[in-house]
Amino acid sequence: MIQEKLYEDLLPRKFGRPGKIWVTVLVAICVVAAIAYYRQLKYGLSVTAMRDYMSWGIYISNFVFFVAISLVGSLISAILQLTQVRWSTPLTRIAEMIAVSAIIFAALIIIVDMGRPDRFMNVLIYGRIQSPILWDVIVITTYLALGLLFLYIALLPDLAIIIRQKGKVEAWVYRIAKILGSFWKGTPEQWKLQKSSIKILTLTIIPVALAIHTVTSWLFALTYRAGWDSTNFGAYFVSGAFLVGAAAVVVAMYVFRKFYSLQDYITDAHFNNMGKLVVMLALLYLYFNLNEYMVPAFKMKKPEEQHLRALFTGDFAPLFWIVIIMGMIVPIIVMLFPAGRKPLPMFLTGILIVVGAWLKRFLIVMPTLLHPFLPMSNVPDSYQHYFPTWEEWAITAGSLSGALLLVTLFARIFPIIPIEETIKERRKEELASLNQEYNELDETKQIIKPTPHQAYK
Amino acid sequence: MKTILRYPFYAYLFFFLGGALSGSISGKAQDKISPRLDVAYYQTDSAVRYLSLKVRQRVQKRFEPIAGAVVNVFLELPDETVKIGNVVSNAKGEGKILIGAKVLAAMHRLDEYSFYAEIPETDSLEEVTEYLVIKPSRLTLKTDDLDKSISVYLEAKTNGNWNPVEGAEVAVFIQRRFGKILVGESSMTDENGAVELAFDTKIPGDANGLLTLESAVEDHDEIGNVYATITTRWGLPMVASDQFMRRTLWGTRDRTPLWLLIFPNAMIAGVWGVIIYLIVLVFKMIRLSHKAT
Repeated sequence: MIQEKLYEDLLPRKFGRPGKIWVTVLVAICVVAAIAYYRQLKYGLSVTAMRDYMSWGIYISNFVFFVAISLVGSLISAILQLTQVRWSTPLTRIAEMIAVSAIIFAALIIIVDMGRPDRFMNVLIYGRIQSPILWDVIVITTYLALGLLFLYIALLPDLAIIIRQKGKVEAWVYRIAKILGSFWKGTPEQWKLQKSSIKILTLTIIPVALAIHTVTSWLFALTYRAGWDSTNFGAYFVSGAFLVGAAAVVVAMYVFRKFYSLQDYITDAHFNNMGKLVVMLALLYLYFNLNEYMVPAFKMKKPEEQHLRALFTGDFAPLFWIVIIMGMIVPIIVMLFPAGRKPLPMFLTGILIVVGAWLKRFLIVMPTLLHPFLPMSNVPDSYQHYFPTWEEWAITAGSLSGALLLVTLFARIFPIIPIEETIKERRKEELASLNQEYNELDETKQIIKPTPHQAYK
Repeated sequence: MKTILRYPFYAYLFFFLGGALSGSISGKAQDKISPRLDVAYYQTDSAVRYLSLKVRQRVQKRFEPIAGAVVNVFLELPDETVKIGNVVSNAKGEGKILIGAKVLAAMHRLDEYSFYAEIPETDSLEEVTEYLVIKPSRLTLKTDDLDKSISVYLEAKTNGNWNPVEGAEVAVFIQRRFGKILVGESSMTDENGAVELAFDTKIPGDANGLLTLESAVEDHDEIGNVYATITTRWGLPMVASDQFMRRTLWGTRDRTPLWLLIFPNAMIAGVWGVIIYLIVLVFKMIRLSHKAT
């Protein structure tokens, strides 16, 4: 009976009206992005505002953002699972879906940033292992492979459920499930292999996840540029990535809970726990920010001074303080209080963190490039400033929409909450409560206590 | 004066006309610049002779360069005047003119070189002429490898004979790529026109330890600027630390440092080994399903 209700609640469902509007809007943005990218392919990178000095624009800041958000897969699925944090079980699939979508678009946006994408294969053919760019290519590919395997292997028992519940899902969803998971019979040997696979993945994905964002940070930190020349960068990037990833999961939790009516599965307790986690991560990130800005500001070396003044009081100051205050301090204050860890405040502060995180990546890339060591001279005015063109905005918005569309499609085809695991956990909970009841009765000698196996049955 | 004051009209007229006249005179003087022209003679032992020119104007208490001034340069011979050429001053007000082979041949017969340079009058510049008389000279630089000593001899031509020049300041330098290093201290030539110096500097030379020494007499009133050079083996052989083709981070792909090949590749192979193993496990699950059926 409980199982039937779970199937009904958690099996993939048709989109309602809001879902259809959501998908239409995302597809429309992707179409505009495709037109903009066609123009970029046709006319080259001159359609962007990137010039000699600003050679990395919002494409790269968007790439860093995607890589950051993808780290959440390892946080929720691996770190929390490995440390036996059971409350995170309903969130694992959401985290993995976000991670895989984000890393796919991180890889795509890098290709978009290339003036000659047809030469992409040259990176693999002629790439030198000395180059951090090649490290990034390798580590992204590796993380994508691990993320997909994690998502797929964990999904196998749920695919079998979809196949068994043929009449309750659309035919095309059933067909996809059959192609991907018809071999899953749930035999003890298969379970054993699946569990050991998940265990191996959990252990492997953590160092790779740390590597992916550390390597991304090294793309900056291995150059001798004001604002990037920092030994703090790896940890600073990883902590920021965990924060934005966790915030993205909070936003997704709220949306799925609301539109799929999952209040029984993603409860206020989940938001409460995620809130505590986000506060901890925000404090950690704030600490690294303090390190990142206070240490050079104390010394104020000449090139750093220009960069820091631009951030603290110059052209980038409004954006900088919005990021620090709205993206870190306000969420910490809100989520410190139990009332702030309710679903709606969590959702709103989650959005603040995600937007702040995107702007933060913008602030990491732009001000440094606009403050080279040698003063800019004899260059057109457009070289000295950077404001993305409509093509850049469209492509960036398209990539974000694409990632959201991918998450939406995943949710349309596969269960957002792991059904099999939820059934097991519910049974465990029942068993625990039964055991408790029996224990109480046992004390009064009224009944013989059953074995756990009997109780389970 | 009293009369002028008694007749204010005439006084006004006097001051008005006087002012206007002085204004027009000073206006003319302001229009045209009176340039200052400096000429210097340079001679090296590679038979290169040239004249260096500087065109400047006095602005308050400083000299400012005049760019674009055309300077004609001549050499006076006993029976004629030969034009060496003309030069246009650059943004720093400077110019240089090489003395051509024909003029050089004529100079060999002379006991004295009389150069003169002129800036012809233009709309903006007043005419100016500058004379420069130089005695023919020769500077000889010799080295002794046994005791690493340097000898410099300076001679000037007087009445067809080469005579030592006494009391001229001579300096010896080591030529470097972007400048010169003084060897010891500059010294005055003795009655034989000679200067002796010891070379006790340890300094890198080229790959073979070659150093180029240069002796110089500069800004001498009679002989101008005279240079002589010689190459010695007194430098320390310089081994260029070109690491490019070695196993460095900057090396070509086949020259990647070994540690960078071993560790990252081992890590990549390790992780991808795990990925492949996981894929194998998926296939095992597929095989198990066939057994179950």
